[in-house]
Amino acid sequence: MLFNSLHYLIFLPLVLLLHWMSPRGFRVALLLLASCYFYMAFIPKFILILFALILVDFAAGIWIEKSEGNQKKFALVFSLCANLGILFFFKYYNFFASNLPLSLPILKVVLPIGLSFHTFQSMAYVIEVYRGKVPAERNLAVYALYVLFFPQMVAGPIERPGNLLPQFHSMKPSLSESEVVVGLRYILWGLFKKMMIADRLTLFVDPVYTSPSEHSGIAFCLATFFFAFQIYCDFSGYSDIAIGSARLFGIRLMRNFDTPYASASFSEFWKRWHISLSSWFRDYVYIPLGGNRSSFGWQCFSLFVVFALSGFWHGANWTFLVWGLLNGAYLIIEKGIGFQKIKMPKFVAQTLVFLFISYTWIFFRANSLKDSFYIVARLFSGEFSGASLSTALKTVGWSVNQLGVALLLIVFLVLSESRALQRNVPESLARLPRVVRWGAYAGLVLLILNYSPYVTVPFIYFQF
Amino acid sequence: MKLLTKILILFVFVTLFQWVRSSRMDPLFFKFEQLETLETQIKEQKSILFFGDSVLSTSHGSDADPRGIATLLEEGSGCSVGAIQHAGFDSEMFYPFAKVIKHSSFFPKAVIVPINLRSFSSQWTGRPAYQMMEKKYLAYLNAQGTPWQNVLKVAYRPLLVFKGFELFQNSEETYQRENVYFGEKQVGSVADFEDRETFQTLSDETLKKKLIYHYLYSLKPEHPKLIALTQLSKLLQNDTRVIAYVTPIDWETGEKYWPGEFKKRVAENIEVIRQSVQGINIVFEDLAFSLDAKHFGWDENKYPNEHLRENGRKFLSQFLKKTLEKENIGCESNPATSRELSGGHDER
Repeated sequence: MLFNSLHYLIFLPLVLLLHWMSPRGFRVALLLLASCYFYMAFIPKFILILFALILVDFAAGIWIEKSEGNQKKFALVFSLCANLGILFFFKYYNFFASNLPLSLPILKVVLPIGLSFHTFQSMAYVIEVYRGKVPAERNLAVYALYVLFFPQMVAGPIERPGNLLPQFHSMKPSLSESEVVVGLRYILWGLFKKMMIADRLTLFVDPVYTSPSEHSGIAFCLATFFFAFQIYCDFSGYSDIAIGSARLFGIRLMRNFDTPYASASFSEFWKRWHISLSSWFRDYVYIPLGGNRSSFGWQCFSLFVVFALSGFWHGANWTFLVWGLLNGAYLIIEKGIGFQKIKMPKFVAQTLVFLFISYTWIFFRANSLKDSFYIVARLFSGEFSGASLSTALKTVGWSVNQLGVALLLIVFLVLSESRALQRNVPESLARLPRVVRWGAYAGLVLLILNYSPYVTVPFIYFQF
Repeated sequence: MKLLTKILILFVFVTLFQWVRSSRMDPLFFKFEQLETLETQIKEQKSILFFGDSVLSTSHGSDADPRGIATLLEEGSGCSVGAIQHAGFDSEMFYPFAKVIKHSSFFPKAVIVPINLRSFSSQWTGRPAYQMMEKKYLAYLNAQGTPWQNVLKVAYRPLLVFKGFELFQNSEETYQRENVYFGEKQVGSVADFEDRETFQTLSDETLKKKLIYHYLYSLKPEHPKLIALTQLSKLLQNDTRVIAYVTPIDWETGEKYWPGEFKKRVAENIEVIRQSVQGINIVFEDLAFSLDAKHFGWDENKYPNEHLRENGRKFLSQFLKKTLEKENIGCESNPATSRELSGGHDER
């Protein structure tokens, strides 16, 4: 069930109605049922995997809390191994089987949707219990909802138990009009980014990256530029819809994006992009390895480990590993040369960061390392003229008008988000005069209804 | 003002805007290729309208004459023949087309409707690509002359951008889980019969499996495609000559792998079809067993289907020509039927 589908637009108000009409004591169970239905709309049988992990982690949490010493460690390791084992089997086994010289059979496995997200969310829980930061959850239904809560179950944000579990325990007694308004604003803005911008840009990006040999430098540059915004709008759009949907139930999810392309350094970028994942790696990998308190050499090593894992988390493909390591290298070089101390206009720094990050998106998007190297080698090849642009557009079936619309939407996005400054666009909308605000709502809705390309493009992060 | 009121006002505003916009949109936005073809052929007052799937025009690599059945029929009968076809079309798609004809100002002399036995199988019925919800919606939209037409127009674009049509058709996952039957007995799911690796071969084992999958189900009278066929027949029976025929199938190969079983089951299914159209004023012909194996060209696809070689297509076009003659449908002596010419009334 995609967020931008009629199915979801019927599902959400129905669940909302039942939620707020039912007694508080039933709401956890109701949300759990709804979340199961949501997940089973993809591939039903995979919910059994989630149920198994939920039982393991629920039991492990209690076991950890009741144990001491080695038994406590064993319980933690057992739970982590269960989660990582499942993740490895479904996501990485075939990669290693085909890359290691061990004659391992290739299995026909389908990656359960959202597995990477909820295993990480589950591991966050057992680690926090182990560290004594949160008490073990004693209510199986509440814990199950923590893992399965439908707005964020499939593609994050990767929540922390300290944020979600207390909210599930103290379900808000009644619907708040202000929360509904905020929630709907997030959903509307998320749908706009996904449907008007991301799905439009994919129409250019996909043909270029699917068959790079048919394209030239200008097409690669344009496709890479577009992909930078496609992935941002797609993923942040999803996150906004998730945050907005949760808000309608009085649940506050963590912010996942904070205008990342406004970053003036790479370290700033990683505090603004996919915040829930980068903070997860910071708290559970980087800091345990020593973090910023260790020597510079060890910090570099830790960063490499973090970004290698981060790359691999995205997918079992060498391209993701290269993407991750490149980003790690950027951070290490930035730390080494003290990039932030170099005086330059903020706009220049932001542009440089954007360009370097966009370069790494080539590896993220390409279907193989071979394709990515092909594109990199020819990024600036050929002519960069009106005629070659015209040829590039023709090859993907675009007109100049379509290019103009895509660029206009990107400019609109950048202006809106920079105008929003410290707040995000949904929250900034609240500051507009009422008439202008409702005019903006109507405008966004009408644009989505009338000018969204009607293509079925799953959210990019569903594949992770 | 309460939030709900504001949201309702926004909803009404958006709906009104969409109403105005959709009424001014290019009508072509609400059409698709085959619907446009049908409307063009009605406008050109084709004597015969020939609905069809891929059987109508698929040729074999060895054919000297690659022409389709409709073209051969036109040549043989002297009547203008308009073909409206698509690989996955069946009676559930032909029915809204029949509505388009019914609500037009022109009736052809005959409407030919092939009944593909494979269209009732699990291989076809639940296949997402063949469900064509959007095309059916557009055909109904263009057939209706009532106020609802505007509502359908307003709803079309939101349904499109929010994947509303996918909600009413199978996902690939659902389709793969659908049951496959050998008669009344469930023998697996679609996923068991759609193993791509296996189906690249033409071994005895895979052929037996494919024949079950395509033809050896047990057809029930309440099958949606059968109901659509009877509805289509009833709709047009008084306005034009409906000629429905069961498409020839490679029964020889079927009997080779399921001796005694294949023809018996298929004949039972055809009898269900015959019973469903009994009493309706149409021509019903059973051509299932009319051609032997050498007339079929499915070897190129590696799965048994109804695609015909040149000799098979010629046989079918000749048969249909003789059927037209038997029904006194000729094009030199009998002028085209037109509501306007006959002063016929609207029978909607």
